[in-house]
Amino acid sequence: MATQTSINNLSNVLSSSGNVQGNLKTSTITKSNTFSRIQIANSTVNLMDMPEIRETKSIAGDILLWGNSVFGIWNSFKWGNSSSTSFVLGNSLAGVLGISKLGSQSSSYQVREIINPNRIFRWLLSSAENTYWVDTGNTTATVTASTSIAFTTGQILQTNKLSTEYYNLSDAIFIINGSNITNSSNLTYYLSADNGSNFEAVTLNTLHTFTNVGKNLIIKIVASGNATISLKNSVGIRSPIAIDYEVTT
Amino acid sequence: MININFPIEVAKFIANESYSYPLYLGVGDSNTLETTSDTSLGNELYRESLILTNEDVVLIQTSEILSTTSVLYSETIKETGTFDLSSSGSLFDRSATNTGILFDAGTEVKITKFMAVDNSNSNVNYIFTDDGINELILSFKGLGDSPSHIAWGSDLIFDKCDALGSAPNNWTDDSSAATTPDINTSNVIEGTGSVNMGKDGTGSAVFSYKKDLASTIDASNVTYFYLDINIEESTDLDKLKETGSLQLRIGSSSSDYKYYSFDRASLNVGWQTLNIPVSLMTDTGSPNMAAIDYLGIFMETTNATDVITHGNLIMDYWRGYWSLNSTDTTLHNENFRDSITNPIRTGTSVFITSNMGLTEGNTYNYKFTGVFNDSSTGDLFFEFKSFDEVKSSVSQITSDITLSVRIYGYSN
Repeated sequence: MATQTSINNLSNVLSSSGNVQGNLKTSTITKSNTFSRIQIANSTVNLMDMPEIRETKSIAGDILLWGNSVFGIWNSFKWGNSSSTSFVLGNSLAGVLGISKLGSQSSSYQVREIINPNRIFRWLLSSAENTYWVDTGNTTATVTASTSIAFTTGQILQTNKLSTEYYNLSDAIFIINGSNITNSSNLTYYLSADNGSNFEAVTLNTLHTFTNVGKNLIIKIVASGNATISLKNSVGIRSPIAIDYEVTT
Repeated sequence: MININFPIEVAKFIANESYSYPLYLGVGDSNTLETTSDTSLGNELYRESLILTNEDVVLIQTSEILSTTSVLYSETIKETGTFDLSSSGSLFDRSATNTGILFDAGTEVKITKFMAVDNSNSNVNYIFTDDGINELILSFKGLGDSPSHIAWGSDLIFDKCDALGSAPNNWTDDSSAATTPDINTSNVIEGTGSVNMGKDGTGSAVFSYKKDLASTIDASNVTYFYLDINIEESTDLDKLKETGSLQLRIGSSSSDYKYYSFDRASLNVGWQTLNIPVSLMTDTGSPNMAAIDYLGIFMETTNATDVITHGNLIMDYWRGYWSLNSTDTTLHNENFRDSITNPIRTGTSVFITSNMGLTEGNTYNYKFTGVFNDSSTGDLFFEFKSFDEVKSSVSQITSDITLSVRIYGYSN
């Protein structure tokens, strides 16, 4: 028969091990010869705020848009004539109601506003984000979607603008989990607050006050040797690449 | 900015209650700074349907406002928000800017809101998995299955030492100095038995036991090997050689194995768990860790003439461990699963519990617990590592788990 002393001893042993957030303990005996062990565990999952992007596209042209007060004037405009993208009445390929697009479709969306909740930019390397953030013209590092950014000697990661603030940025903290970086000493980190006109060297996870202020934030990372920034740590927990910044109002 | 309403709706999904999720994007012209407690837009002008997609843990909410939306002509879009209904409804997210976008008949607008589900509160011992995150993201599309079961699992077991086994897959001694092994049913760490050992030969200082497993075990993920041993008397411990007194061998054959040797100073009188990081083991031959079928324990006394009474050395529960990982989709060596009884939600926290009764899941030790959404297989939401719980007909295990949903960076 187990005694209360043995239960207490067991409880002490279990408590001292402390493997689980919360507690793990034994209950009191409910029957004279049985144990009831109660595991208590807690876990939290977070909804993470990330950027909002507002884009606009001009549809200016001379194409008739049904229902549009400016481009829908009968006898003044013509039906679309771009055979693969526009709605062309009577065209078997481009005249499919509910499928073909109206207008010339000659312009593409342009980013007008980027809103970072609480002025914190966060990036988890999904390809949808990368499409907006990676400046493919200036980036030579290898960005693998939802996984990592890999550098060899001389390679660069540079982003497009990551903010469109109303006021100038005054300072920022460039945040990357240090344990997720292999060969961190081979990387030099820069931020620009003025849309890439001036890049200022920064230390990760340390407040940097901008000398050259502006409204549009850009990241630049330059490698002097092989290095990798991984999204996940050894047990698969992600840490976003983040910039926490302030503005001068 | 994510609204405080959103985590509540996610918690409802976890609790298997009716819940709502974003289906529409509203736009307005107020530049009033957003807060987590907003209930509506500052001045809503128009609402459009949302398209939700996801990639990894990132949710992508997109909406396009066409140039034919005459209600917005000459209006400046400064604020956006996501809602569950085409009018009124619950607000999930709102953001506002000072400048905004002037809308006219020559303009089309696309709004893309990124959001992610994050498990950074997890650590090596308790993890909300990617599998679970994926189910939460599916819930934002009205899909996904809520948690319904709790499962329990053990380390990867190489030998429970509950039986010697049948030749040629049985525990055997070296036919020289070691005593003949037999099963001890009264002094046990795991299961129903352990293996008695000793030394009666005086011609050799080395004595050993080995077992060829009946079928191979894939241990390629294992990062630690464990074995419990009992050294009954201090006089027995004192007889062991000072260095390299106990060696464990694990491998794919008697000539292809990894080994690690313990010095006498690292051993104790009584039961103890020998803990061996695989990274510190040395190879003999070319062990194939994906096909383990050989276990060996080699001991050495200071003098060949030293003897140790049979049963004064006992071993039990050869096993392997590897870390939990957010990519896990199954529980380590699951042995038992039972349904959750009536989840209880309080705000953004959900309490779930299940019990492994006296007659259930016996003869195993349990170290891992996981939350699933099906009675078998299914999606693993959350797993944690606990103590090596002995389970028998006189013990039951109850797991009380609280899963909470928060907004990243907030203390709500």
